[in-house]
Amino acid sequence: MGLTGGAVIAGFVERPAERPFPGPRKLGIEQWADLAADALADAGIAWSEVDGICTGAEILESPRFVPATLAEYCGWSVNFAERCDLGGASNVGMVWRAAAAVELGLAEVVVCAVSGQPRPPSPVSEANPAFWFGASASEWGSPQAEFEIPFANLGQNGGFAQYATAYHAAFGWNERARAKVVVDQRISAQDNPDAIFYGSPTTIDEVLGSRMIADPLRLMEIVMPVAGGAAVVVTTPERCERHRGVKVIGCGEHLTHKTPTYAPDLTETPVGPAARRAFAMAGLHPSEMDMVQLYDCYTITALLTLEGSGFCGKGEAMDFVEAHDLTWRGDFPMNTNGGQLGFGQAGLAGGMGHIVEAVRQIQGRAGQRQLARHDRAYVSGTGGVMSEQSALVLEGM
Amino acid sequence: MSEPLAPPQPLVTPTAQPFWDALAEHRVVVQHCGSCGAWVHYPRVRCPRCGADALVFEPVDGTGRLVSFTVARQPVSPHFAESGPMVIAIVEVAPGARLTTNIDTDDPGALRVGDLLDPVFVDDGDGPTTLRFSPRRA
Repeated sequence: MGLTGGAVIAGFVERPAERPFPGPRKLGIEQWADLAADALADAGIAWSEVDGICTGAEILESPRFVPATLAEYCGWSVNFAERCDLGGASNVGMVWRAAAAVELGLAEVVVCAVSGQPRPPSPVSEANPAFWFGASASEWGSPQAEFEIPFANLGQNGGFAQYATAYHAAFGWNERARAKVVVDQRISAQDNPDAIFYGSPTTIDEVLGSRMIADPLRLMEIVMPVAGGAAVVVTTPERCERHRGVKVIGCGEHLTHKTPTYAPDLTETPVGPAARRAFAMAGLHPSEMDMVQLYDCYTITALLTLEGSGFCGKGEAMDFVEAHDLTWRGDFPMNTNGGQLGFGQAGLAGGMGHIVEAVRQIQGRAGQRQLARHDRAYVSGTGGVMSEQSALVLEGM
Repeated sequence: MSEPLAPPQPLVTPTAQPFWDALAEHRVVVQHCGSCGAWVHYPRVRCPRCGADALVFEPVDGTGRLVSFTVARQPVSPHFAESGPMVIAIVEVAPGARLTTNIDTDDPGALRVGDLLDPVFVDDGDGPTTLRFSPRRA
């Protein structure tokens, strides 16, 4: 059962992280079409060959009937159309759904794209009172409108900070370990001219000296929002001719809650079952990965994901990151492009960056930060506040 | 950010009405499953552990146990611009039943996971009585 490697990632595109965004500004649907065209060109596959669409939860100006809108706009007749509503876990979710569709024979060329640049100013008022509540539904009848928003439990910072408090209360208060994640990934970002922190290495003391945002999380432990966007093309091995094919050989996802208040256990996150399924499907062990590209919206996310994914035991991630060099030159290459903490987070496209970097490395196209061993990668996604997590195991053909 | 907005009131739903009614009387009630025995919050029509439609509101003493918390140092939205730093907490009020709340304290640095807390019933003329907590005095 499971994916067998009969679907591969053939090509990709990733926009540089930009803040402020210099333009030109395009609509969400226009950005999506541009990303598709560039990823297809990279894969060496013609526009007209596309027969599958995978996208994130919305296309800015087109929040509903998204795949049909995209098919119409791009002029494609598709046999597989998916909109993945898993927040930051969507990108991993999109890729395994695309791979499954290819293995099932439903589609042969699936474009997975997420846009992340600002749009032109709208001529009509877009004032939306729900804007400030972000992912928290403020409509009457939603649990958040009744039990969360009145207590200021909205946005991401507070929830991830609650996870961090619970984690340190259980396993010890080593804040320098959290800061080291930022430092090591910033070192890798110095070899990525597209990263927002290219040219800006940092130190543990600087991270711990940055402004407290939501105790115990400080400003530099939180991703910098940037403009960007990314896409990959999932297809059959036969159609993958230009670059080394990257087989999708393992996947998993797991969801338990939307708000951390209702999580089964704040020291254990949904990535555990997702990762175990992905590794079992691939027939591989975490120690057999050449790199990990894991979702790092906050430092605490990286620690919890390392543990949950099986790279170290429960409560051991602080010691683990201090014992290992996490840079691309190090003994445990993690987020070799700088990760989202070093690259920046282009909204939902931030998670696609982890997949793109894994593909880039496996295809031997990572330039000055190319790993010597680059056959296998573990990639994770995280959505909401540790609400939904997803995992991929990728391997070069 | 634009001009300050009022903090949002709970948008009460029919299923949870008994919870809010009890708070108005400065009591705390939590759903208890007549089938599997789970304590459940927020109120639901079915038990999230066993799926039975046998949830009944039962009184609890209102003592809370601090599961986790953060101090929001900057307003999470313009609605809380006037609130100052807020302790946003997860508190257990019955075995396994947790709720989101705020903790009234001048010294959030003294809070520890596992602390026992006392209920604070906040009567707001504009909306339902809400449940906050304060550190238990030794």
